[in-house]
Amino acid sequence: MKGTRAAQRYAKAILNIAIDQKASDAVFKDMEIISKTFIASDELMDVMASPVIKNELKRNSLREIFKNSHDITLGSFDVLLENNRIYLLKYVAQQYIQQYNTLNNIQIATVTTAIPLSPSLEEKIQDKIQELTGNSATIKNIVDPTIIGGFILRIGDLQYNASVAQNLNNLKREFKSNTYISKI
Amino acid sequence: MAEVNPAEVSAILKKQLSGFESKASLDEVGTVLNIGDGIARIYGLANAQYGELIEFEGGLEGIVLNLEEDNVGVVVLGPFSEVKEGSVAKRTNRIASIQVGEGISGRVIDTLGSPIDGKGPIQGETFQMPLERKAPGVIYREPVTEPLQTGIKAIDAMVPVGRGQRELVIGDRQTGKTAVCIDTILNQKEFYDAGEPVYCIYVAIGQKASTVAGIAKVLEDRGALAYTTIVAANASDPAAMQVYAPFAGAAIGEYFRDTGRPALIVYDDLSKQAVAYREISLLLRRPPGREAYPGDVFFLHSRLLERAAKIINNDNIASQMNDLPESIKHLVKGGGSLTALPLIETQAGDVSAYIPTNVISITDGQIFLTSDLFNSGVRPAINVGISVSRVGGNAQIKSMKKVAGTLKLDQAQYRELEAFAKFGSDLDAATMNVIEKGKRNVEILKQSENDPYPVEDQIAIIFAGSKNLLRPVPVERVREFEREYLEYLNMKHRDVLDALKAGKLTDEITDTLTSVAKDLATKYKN
Repeated sequence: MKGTRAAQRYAKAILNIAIDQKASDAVFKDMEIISKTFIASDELMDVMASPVIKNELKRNSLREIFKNSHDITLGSFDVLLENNRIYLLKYVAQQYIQQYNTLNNIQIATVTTAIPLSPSLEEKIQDKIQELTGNSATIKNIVDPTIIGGFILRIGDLQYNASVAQNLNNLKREFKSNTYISKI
Repeated sequence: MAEVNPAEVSAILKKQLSGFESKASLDEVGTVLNIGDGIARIYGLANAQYGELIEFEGGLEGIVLNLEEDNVGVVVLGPFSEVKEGSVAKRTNRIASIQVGEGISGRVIDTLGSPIDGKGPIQGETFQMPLERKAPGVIYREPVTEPLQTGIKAIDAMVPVGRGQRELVIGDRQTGKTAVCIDTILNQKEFYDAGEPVYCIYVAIGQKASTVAGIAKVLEDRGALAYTTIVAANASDPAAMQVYAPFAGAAIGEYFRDTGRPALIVYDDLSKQAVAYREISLLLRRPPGREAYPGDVFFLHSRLLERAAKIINNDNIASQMNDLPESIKHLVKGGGSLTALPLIETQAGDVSAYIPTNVISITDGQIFLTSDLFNSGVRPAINVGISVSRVGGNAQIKSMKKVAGTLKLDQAQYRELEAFAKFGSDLDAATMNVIEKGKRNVEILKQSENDPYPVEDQIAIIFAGSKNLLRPVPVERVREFEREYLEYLNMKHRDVLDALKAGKLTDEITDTLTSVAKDLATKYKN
């Protein structure tokens, strides 16, 4: 991911200040809003990344769009603008969210299912998560019909794949590898 | 082709499906950030280890070669067009390794150990041998004393190879490097027939598939495939497969070495492996050095060749060898050996280029093959003047050592005076002697392809040559003489040959050989 390293540094700095001033939760909410806004609006991303638009203009537009933000958040806009790194704002927000979650041991688990998740199933998955990682997590559900059935649970770097598509793929692979055909 | 019963087909399918367990797997995963030119960069995989196998969706595997702060660089072992950006890659928790067992002899396999000769899966019990492994330490080794008979007169007489030695075969293209190694493999048949086989491994790196098929056919026709394994990473295989093919071969060789048996491995050729390694290093953005090779190309070859060793003949000490794989700890025996014959192709005879000098400094000697000699009819085109074996006489049986002792020197003297012979000027008797003897020795040392000589035959004919018993025979008829001489000895004096083979060279034996040679030589006098 381009610029991830720089974004990580900025996010870490913002997080540290927020913790010092006991405002990390407030800044977290701001960062979530910023992240969602950038994803929703391509225009905003383009404007921030454009080198021909003056910093003043960018500054004013950001302050206008995110006017209810905490002082720290507004301050971070200024720092990024000063260092000509405002195009990283989206990634900084994402990294802040990630680091905040890691700090407070909040795990986000992504569950991919073929049909939307029912509450009883969600409970079962929570149990599985508890079993695998020892912590609870908030579940984010993605509906993907191509897995046919079952579910794929992904927490950070761990993946528990209990989908029908995976089993069918394994079966396909077993039939495909044929050592009775000469390849030379 | 016989009709296949539909009921049989259903039964087989049913067996496959019932044996198949539908199970969920918990894996550590990462996402593919970008993929191209055989290198995949993966985000995540925080616990991936260097050299570990990574599995992509669809079953393709890769080896981790770059561990960076925010991504992992993986070299893909297969057609990388199947991997998509954004797809999931998971750890296998397995450092790259190959499954080896008794059933691997006689098979043609690829770098990952899968058979490609169409004869079904590898039979019998297999053990997991790692591709990368530290060479045995000093304490577990022993000096080289047993000969590895190559069956080629020039080599066994003047640059002998011992079991556990590394002897480099170096020369330009089309000088007969592969032929020398194939003949060596063919010559091990007598040991296979006697029940103490020398297990051979032929690693084909970056060669045409047709060439590999041809070699497999030659070995099969001569009954040598039974004790040979061929590891093939052809020119169309990804560069990573070509880099790791010699390591796969070494892993197989180590299986035989550590279980107390002699093994021979031929790397054909290491120049192509270095080129493939250069390719993946440059794609991994590692800084290029001399001739654009990466800085660790010496280490690539040295750690490969150091694994060829003679293990001490003591089971207790051998069982404590460093880095012994868990899978074969219960099978370890001492006394085994792994002999390596790496091949290097030089460009226009330039042995002072980067890779040739590297490998020359690593190996225990080299066999030089020159185009000039090849073109003038001296085949095998071994340039004895610059070929060296640092093990030398220790790797020869007593009889051969005595007989071939002066041969190298005689040939050196001949070469010095060879120029005069071309002028045809009046020379004194002593000089003429040297020249005539030298010419006949050169004829004796010529040999056809795929025609290895047993050691007793070699000793007999070299004896005749070095005692100048061939003087009466015209140079063009020396080969005819040789054939007749050896045929006669094999028929009428088999006991003498057996004594030679056992290492004995008594006066009785020399008298017999001298008289037979003299009698036969008079026949050719004109």
